Amino acid sequence: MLVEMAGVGFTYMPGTPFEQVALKSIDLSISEGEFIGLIGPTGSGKSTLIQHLNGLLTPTEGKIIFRGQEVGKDIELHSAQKEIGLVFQFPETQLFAETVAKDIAFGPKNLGLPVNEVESRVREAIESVGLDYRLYARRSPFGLSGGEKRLVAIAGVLATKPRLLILDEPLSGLDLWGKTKVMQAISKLNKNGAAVVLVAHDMDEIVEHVGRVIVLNEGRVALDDKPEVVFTQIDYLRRIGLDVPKTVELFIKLKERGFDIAPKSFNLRIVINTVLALAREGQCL
Amino acid sequence: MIEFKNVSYHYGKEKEKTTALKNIGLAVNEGEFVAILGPNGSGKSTLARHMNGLLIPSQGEVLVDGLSTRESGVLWHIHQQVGMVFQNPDNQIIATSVEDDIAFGPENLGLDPKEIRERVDEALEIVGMQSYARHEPHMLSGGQKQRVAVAGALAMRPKYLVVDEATSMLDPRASSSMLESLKRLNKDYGITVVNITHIPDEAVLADRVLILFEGRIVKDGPPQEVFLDLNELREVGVGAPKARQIAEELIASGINLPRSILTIDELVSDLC
Amino acid sequence: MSVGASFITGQYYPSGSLVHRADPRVKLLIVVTFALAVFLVKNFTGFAAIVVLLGFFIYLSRLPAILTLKGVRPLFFILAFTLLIHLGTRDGLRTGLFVDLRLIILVVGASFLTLTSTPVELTDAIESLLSPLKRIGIPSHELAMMMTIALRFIPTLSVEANKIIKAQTARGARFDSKNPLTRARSFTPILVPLFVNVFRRADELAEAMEARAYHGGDGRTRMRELKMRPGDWVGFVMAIILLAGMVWVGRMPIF
Repeated sequence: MLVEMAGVGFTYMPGTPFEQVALKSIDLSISEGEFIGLIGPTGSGKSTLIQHLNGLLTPTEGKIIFRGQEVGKDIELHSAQKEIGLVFQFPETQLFAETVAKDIAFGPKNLGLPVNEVESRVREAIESVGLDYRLYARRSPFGLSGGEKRLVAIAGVLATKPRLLILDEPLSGLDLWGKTKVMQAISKLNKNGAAVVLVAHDMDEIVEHVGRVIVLNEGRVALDDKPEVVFTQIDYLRRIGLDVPKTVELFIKLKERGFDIAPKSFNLRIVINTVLALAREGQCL
Repeated sequence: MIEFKNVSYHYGKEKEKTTALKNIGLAVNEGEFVAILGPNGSGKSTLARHMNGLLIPSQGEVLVDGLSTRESGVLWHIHQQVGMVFQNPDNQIIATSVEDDIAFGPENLGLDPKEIRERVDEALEIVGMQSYARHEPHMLSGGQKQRVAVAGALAMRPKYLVVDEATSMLDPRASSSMLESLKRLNKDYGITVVNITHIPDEAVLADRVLILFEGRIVKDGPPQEVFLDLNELREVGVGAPKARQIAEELIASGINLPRSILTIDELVSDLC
Repeated sequence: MSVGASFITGQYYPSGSLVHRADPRVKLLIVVTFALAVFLVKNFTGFAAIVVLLGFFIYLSRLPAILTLKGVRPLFFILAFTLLIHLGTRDGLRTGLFVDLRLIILVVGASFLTLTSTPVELTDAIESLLSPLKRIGIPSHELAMMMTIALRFIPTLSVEANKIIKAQTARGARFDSKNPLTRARSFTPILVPLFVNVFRRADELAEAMEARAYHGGDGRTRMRELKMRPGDWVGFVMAIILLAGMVWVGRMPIF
């Protein structure tokens, strides 16, 4: 087990009139190499939760366990932080250095790595987000397009080689090119063994990539299961203000028309195959 | 009518001149709901800024109801006729209370205080924010801020509303409610809406879709026609509505479906 | 969420009282007069009279007294410090107490103003009071507009600064180095993005203002017109007379 949250609760400004409970008794665990989608309506506590995962916030109740050791008790916070990367929403607004390479080097340098190791990590990180090192390393991050800036900002976190990467809405505001590039980089990282937590509103992206979906509502874990299980709770999801993937919508509507279908997954490929099978059986068309 | 007559726009100094728009010819008619779709850097925002005279063409001419944006004397009239809503909800609210922000436009037009009050109340009602009139903008959610921005434009009683990626920083619920209000403004109030976006599923809601690529209009027509050839669209950096993508996969696997499918409902009824 | 932004000391506290409904120019002028008065009085009787008058205003405005004193709390150390350094001098206790009293009355007066008037009312009041100075070249409209925009964006920018600090912390940034030079440099990753974003915001805001036909103060009207009602005049004149009397008493050679 990589990270566990045991009975974690968090209250903003406890004991003041502005007290606000953001998380309530959260129990969840994340294994090495998992790809998790974290969804929930605005204000459900998603961003508070991910800040707990890498120690930016300390729980007011319960504990965080990193590789079997309690953070803050058995191990120091920053030794857990080293292995957990967090990409905030609109990360391009945090770029600061005069060149792309220097900006990306910020994380590895803070880890105290030797110069040549920092350099090789910068190169690796730029290439892992699908940008050409020779073309981009010496450019100013401020002169790049929106999509390129986003990729550079993500590379800045990848350069610390996290075992768990958490991304808060990494696709928002991007066009087709940007979305494709960012999702490619994330998938590749996951294939190479890192666990990923993807916070996203775009359910079509979630359903295509993740193996597990956690639904957060009013500070609690409402659902935590495979996407094909979570997304059949369509009434519940809509009631709390979430969309469902278009593939799920298709299934629901076909079912309403009396077709007997039970999908194994809501992945586009599988859905296409199921509909094709229906068509071959002569149920449709 | 907003008319572009052979409009080109360059920015930067002579040596490193970048061309953002190339020979754009376009007419947006009264009462239309137009979506302008294109990847980042295609010139969408530059085009939008020409519609109300925030940018003046390097070559050619933009006419709003026959008035050229080149004539500085009519510019304030054009600003009033063509309302704009921008991408970042935070960076277009000027005043420290909701109603004072909505009043900002009419105040600039030099209207009578009583008239301003009426317009502010009316605009608040149209966007459903009456109960927030005295709230401070920074306490509102992103979706609420965008509604305030729409109200701010409406209080100028514009004929046209140009919306530049106004949903791209909102969550799905807020963006669909934003799109619904745009639709309503177009239908019930007869306001011509130009929605600049990079989201294909948003473009489907329009009567007419323009696709912009490298400063040129490469497609112009009803959504059913514009999304016919997905390969062609991919080459100009534009995706397709999700239902259209599913239909395309099914077509490729040998199922006979029309290429004009844009929504799941259409797909289901064509399948069964 | 922007939880932190919701309780800036001295933010408008709507109680709908007489004072809240009063013309903001009157409130502003009275508070300015208060500030002048505390620097003119030279004895405790004068201070006592001023405190009673201020207390009466707070009572009239139906504010929880604790709220008006909240602004004083962060000053505690400064107050104690000034008192301490004055203690060493001749007549030090008296001078030290005077300095402290002046500070406290100024802070309470300022919170009284911001608690009973919205930022909009205050900027309108400043614009209106400065407008006669337009003839001698004071850009009253521009000053008021600057103040409005500053007030509008302070909460936004504080939320943004917070976000950037968090993001850089997540990348392993540390801001606690003992070496002052290293520490100063460690703020670069926060300040650069903050400045870049401020410029971007300024650009976009200017564009949004232009799109809404803004062209400076000429020919611009206001939705809300400040109008002095009889009660405003009465309150204003009485407050000024009372304060003048207090200053007169306050400069007498008594305790």
